[in-house]
Amino acid sequence: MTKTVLIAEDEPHIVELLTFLLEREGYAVTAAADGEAALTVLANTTPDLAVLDVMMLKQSGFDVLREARNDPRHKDLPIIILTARGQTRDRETAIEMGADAFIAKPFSNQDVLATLRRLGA
Amino acid sequence: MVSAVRQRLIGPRVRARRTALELTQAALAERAGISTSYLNLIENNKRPVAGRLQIALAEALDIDISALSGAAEQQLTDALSLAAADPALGSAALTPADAAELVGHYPEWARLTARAVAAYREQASQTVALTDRLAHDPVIANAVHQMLTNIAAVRSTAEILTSVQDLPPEQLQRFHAIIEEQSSALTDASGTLAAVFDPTNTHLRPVTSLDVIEDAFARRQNRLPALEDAVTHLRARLHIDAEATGAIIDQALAGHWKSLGLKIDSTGTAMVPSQPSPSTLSLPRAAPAATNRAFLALKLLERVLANQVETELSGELTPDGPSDAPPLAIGSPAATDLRAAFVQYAADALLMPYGAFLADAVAWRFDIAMLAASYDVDVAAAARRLTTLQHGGAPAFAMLAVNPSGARLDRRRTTDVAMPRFGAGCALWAIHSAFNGTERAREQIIEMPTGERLWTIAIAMSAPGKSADAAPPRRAYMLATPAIHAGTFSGEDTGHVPSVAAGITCELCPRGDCAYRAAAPILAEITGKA
Repeated sequence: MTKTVLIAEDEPHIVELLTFLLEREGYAVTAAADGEAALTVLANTTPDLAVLDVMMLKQSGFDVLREARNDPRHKDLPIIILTARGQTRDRETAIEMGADAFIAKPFSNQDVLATLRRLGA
Repeated sequence: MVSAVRQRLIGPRVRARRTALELTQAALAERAGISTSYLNLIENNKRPVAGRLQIALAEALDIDISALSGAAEQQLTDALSLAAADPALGSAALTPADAAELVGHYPEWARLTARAVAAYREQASQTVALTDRLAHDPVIANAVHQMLTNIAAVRSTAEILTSVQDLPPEQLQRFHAIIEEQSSALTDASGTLAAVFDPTNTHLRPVTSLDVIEDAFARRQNRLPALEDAVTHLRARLHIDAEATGAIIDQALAGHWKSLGLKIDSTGTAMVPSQPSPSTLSLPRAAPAATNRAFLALKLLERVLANQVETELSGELTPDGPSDAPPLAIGSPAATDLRAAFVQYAADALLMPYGAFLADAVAWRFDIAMLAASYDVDVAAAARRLTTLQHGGAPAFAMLAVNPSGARLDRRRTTDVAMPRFGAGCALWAIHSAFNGTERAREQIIEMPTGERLWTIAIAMSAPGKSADAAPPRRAYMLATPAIHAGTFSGEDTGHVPSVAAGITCELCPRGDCAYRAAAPILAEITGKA
């Protein structure tokens, strides 16, 4: 069965590139351009994994992470936090809030794919 | 009365001037109408110089009487004494008396030393400010974030092009376009970042109105003499003397407002004053009298001191404005806010006349709550006024105002103390815990990582709520000055004042074991002031 991945990222080219990578690996991708759209997707679907950029409009990746962990349907959803802010504080915040992995930009495609596989998606 | 330190400076100055005029003691003594032996005692600081003798000696030496008052030398001595007390510069072996001797006997060396210390402090202050900015400036943060995102897209695309061999032509073309577009965006973002570090921008660029106001006041050492004089003349014209009660001030200000053909309406039920039209003020009886008075003073001075305020503002707006700051655009929000800050300054001066306020501040050890109660003004006004006193011999206080979230509402800096411009402040400062207690002033000695010690006074206040149901907005104020001043004016031992090892912001503080740490330090060691 095809596994689905939610990508919440406001930079369209990043979405396009990640979608290309994941679809080649056999994933189905749902894209959200901001945090609000990501929450709408989570309200209506149950993806197998989510990749959330931190700095987005209309709710940050941390806001979406918090909402997801408060939702019984998504409390075990594997979530990767993606951000250009690679500071220790962001990494710690992501883990404290229940993210399963943290990837800093600029990322390696292989790292992204390896992380997805590690999380069992 | 001339202070003992100033007195010690007069003798050497008399001798130096006499020598420069190639006069013998006998010749000068005759000119001044005193005996040679008495002049000799004066030159050796064995006799004071004041009153008629001061005038006679000044005339005999053909110098301005202020040259014999020792004011300039006192200021120089104070600066050298402060430098000696700075752990980063001085030595416990140096005393104010040593400074006075240096000033008296080698004035040019003393001035050279003072200039070198001032230049060092300026450089250290710039270092801290630039470091703070690197950590928190939103322009830098956004530019870096954009660059990393652009680089991520370029890298990911390049990896795909390298690793995937069977890309359809249209997909290949699409990825090449992504590289081109992202490279262009990367160029723009790096250009923005490069502009921030342009060597021609040698001083910190103001980011907000708060920065603009702080910079403008700092250039004036937090005092506006022209507006002070204008307010003094206005008080005299309105017959408001130093002992005037709030009721007398209200009557005088209201009378002047109405004499301009304007109206005051006291019938409203609101809890705060307002200006429903350009010619009418609403000063409801339900609002505190002090609040109405402060509002009336502000609105009146906005009109009657408009020319003086514009003159003050024009120095910031012209193309040839301060060389260390970009000129403000006329009509810009920052220019509007700066104008309002100048008017507020005048209103503070009206309600807290300088001389009386200085005397009371010193007598009450700068207790903000007492000063605010005595002059029937809010804590914010008293705190702002305290920053102006350095020209009267009081300490130079820096000021910080925050709301309960820690957001900065107002800021004044001095040569010795600068409040953080970016990022969250230090949670250990009493200004933050002030919200938890009663509205009384709290003293605290803050020991910085550099060894520098600051004496601070913090207090919280509730501003008037807009209605009986609305929660009154809470604010906290902190005044800070080097701890050397802590016991100066009361003579009390400051051992009872709580002391805390703190910093400026987490990013600039190397204290690794701090329980309040909220961010990793970006410097292993802090140089200069922090």
